[in-house]
Amino acid sequence: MNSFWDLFSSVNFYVTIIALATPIIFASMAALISNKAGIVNISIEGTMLVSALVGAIFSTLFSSAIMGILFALVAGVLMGYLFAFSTIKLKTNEILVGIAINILAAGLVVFIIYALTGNKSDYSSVPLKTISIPLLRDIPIIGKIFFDSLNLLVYLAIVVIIAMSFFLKKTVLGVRIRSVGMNAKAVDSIGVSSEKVKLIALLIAGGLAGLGGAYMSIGFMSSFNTGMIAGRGFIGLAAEAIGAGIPYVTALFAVVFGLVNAFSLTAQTITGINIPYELLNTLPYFVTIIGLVIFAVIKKRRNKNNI
Amino acid sequence: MKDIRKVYYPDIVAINNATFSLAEGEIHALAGENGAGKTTLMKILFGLEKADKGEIYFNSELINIHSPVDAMKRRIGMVHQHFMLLENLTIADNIVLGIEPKRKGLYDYKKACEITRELGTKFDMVIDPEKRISQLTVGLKQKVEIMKVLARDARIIILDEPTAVLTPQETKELFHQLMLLKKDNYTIIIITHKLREIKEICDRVTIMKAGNIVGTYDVDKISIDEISKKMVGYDFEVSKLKSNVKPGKIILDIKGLSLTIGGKKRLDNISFSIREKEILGVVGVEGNGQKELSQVLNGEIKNYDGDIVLDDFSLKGESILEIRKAGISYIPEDRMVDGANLNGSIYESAIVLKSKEKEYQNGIFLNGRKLEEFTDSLINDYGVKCNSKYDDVKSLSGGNIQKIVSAREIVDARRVLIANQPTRGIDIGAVMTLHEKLKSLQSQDKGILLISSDLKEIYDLAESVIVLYDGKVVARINNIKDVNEEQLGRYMLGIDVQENMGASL
Repeated sequence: MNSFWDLFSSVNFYVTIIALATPIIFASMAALISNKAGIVNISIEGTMLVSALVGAIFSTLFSSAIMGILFALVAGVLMGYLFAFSTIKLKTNEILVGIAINILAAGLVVFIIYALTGNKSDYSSVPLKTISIPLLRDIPIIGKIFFDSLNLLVYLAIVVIIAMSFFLKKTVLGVRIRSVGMNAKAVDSIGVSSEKVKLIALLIAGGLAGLGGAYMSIGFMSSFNTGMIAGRGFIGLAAEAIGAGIPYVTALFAVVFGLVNAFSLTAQTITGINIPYELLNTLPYFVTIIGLVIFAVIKKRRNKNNI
Repeated sequence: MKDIRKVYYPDIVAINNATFSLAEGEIHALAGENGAGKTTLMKILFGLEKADKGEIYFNSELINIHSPVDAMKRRIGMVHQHFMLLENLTIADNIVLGIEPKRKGLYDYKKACEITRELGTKFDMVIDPEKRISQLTVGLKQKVEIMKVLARDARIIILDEPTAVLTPQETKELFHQLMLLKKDNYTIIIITHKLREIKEICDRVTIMKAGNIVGTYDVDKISIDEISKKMVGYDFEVSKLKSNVKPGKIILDIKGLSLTIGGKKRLDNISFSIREKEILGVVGVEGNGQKELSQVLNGEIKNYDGDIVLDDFSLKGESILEIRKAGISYIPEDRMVDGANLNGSIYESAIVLKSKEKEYQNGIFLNGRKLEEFTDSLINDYGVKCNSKYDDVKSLSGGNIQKIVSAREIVDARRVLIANQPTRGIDIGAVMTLHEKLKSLQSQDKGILLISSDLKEIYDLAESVIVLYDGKVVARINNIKDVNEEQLGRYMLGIDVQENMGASL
């Protein structure tokens, strides 16, 4: 690749963006539903990591990527329950529980891999096949980007965005989740248990994070690696914060982070720029911070205007 | 419907022995002073508090109410003084929360709007179900709360001081709507201490005093005067504490204070002054401006009109710290929230002011020995009952917490002490101690503003008294001996206004 123009005009670049945005979309939707229920859920990162490993293990066990995804989903829900049990029933501070789960996850995956294989960092999986849709793939450019080389979980992520928006607005449970996030006392005062509503929201969040994890080890790569989540759970939280809790806006920012991620991976191949690889790798995190700062400034201005 | 119950709190008797009955289709007032137990009694009926003793009968059947859900099953609903609404959702969302209409398994928002509109017509008002709660006035929010209760099919509706937050026009509207409900055979309980309102719309009134029921009367057959007497009546005797001090020159001069919060005038052109060696009592039914007055005087609220002058220096707009430095100290109304850190030690709560003074510091460190001595002296001086000064404040009884808070503030008062309900809810021994200490402060050329809803306390301590009603000073009595408690009660309840006050009701 010779120039930026080459980069931005290549179909592969856009496919990479979508591929890298997908796990962040799952993470951001998990963050979103938790936040709607009034909970800051930083355990998404650790949940994704555990689910990524569980997905890899069960995909090889059954020689089926789909089974891997299902078990990753279950693992995510269980992790969600662990978080919910600690915060709701035991009333432990949610940030502390989140940190504990993240640390636990990091240690747990190493332990499991070592016990199973004897090495400490990798576990190969049965990857998900890419889907190539006849006719649609023949649409110029768009066909190549969207309908030729993506897999099931990418499409599922898009469905999740739409479903989330619908669920929160149009279902009783969705409205209750939002109500609990606004004023849990008011919900309790009319005889609806806000704790139950929170629990359900956290289980859903766990499941979504589980899918995000499965995507990393089964969809995006063909193996699990202990460092593979690489803060994507946290970036999902950031996308949710910048997206102000609106599913579509949140997804948009997840894609922006996907773009930055894709750029940092491919920019090294451009001849003529000599940015060290390590520095480029920090780009997604750097952009996250900038995004949050811009968001905070806008929010502050808006609040000022309201007063 | 008939109930007998009794409630004890750790060290306060909230309701001693109360029997209360309600007839179908009536508007029943539950009247009494603050702390008489009205709200507690109703919370028991609604399942928010548990009675320690007593029974509740519903249509002569003995029932148990453990939670609001039980109460709602009996079609009893309550509108709280503090609204429980979801600000970012629409009126319709709020009204159907928990009983959402469904269509094909989905939330049927259209139906929710329809339900809301229907309830609106019942209420004789046009309502836009899609408006967000955050855009509504206080009066409308209250109506949403009432509609919420109606949407749950309640037939008995408890309203806790519904007019406290309303403008006169909103009050009128509310009463009109309550009368409509009454016509539909709803039963309504109004917790209130506004006698005019009782006369205006209620059928019967039950009067409570200090945790007891004084009696239940037909509103037609009892005069406002009689109700007022039954509400505030005390046996008064001239206090032994009262000394014959002659007040000196003016220390604190309050000039034309006005304050508007949320469109309602909380303070309306209040002027008065405190002289040296004077204890000026401020009386009034709670919610008539006492809280706002103390918040303005201690610097919590700054956006008021008018001026506060201490020894010829204006304190307008000064911070809490500056006002304290100028010599005004403050015993807050809520010792549990504003007065002391319940999770900290007695020592910490005691030294919070002194630790700022150079004399109690060693360079950048605190002078621990001196501060400990100071704490010990407060504990001894005020007879605080505790095992050690390092005990958590929350392990103390209410009276002892109040002693710590008051001791700290009284010692710190260089010019003026503002004491807001200093002896509410504490045992008689602690009351005696605090009264003595206030008196001794008075003899040191200092002024005391004593805000109290306890008339006995005012008679015991104060030389002069002002009466607040609806944010205005409706009476100023320079020598408290010139007024009897009955007349004071009439001022407090807004029945009378002292002539030269020029305030109109």
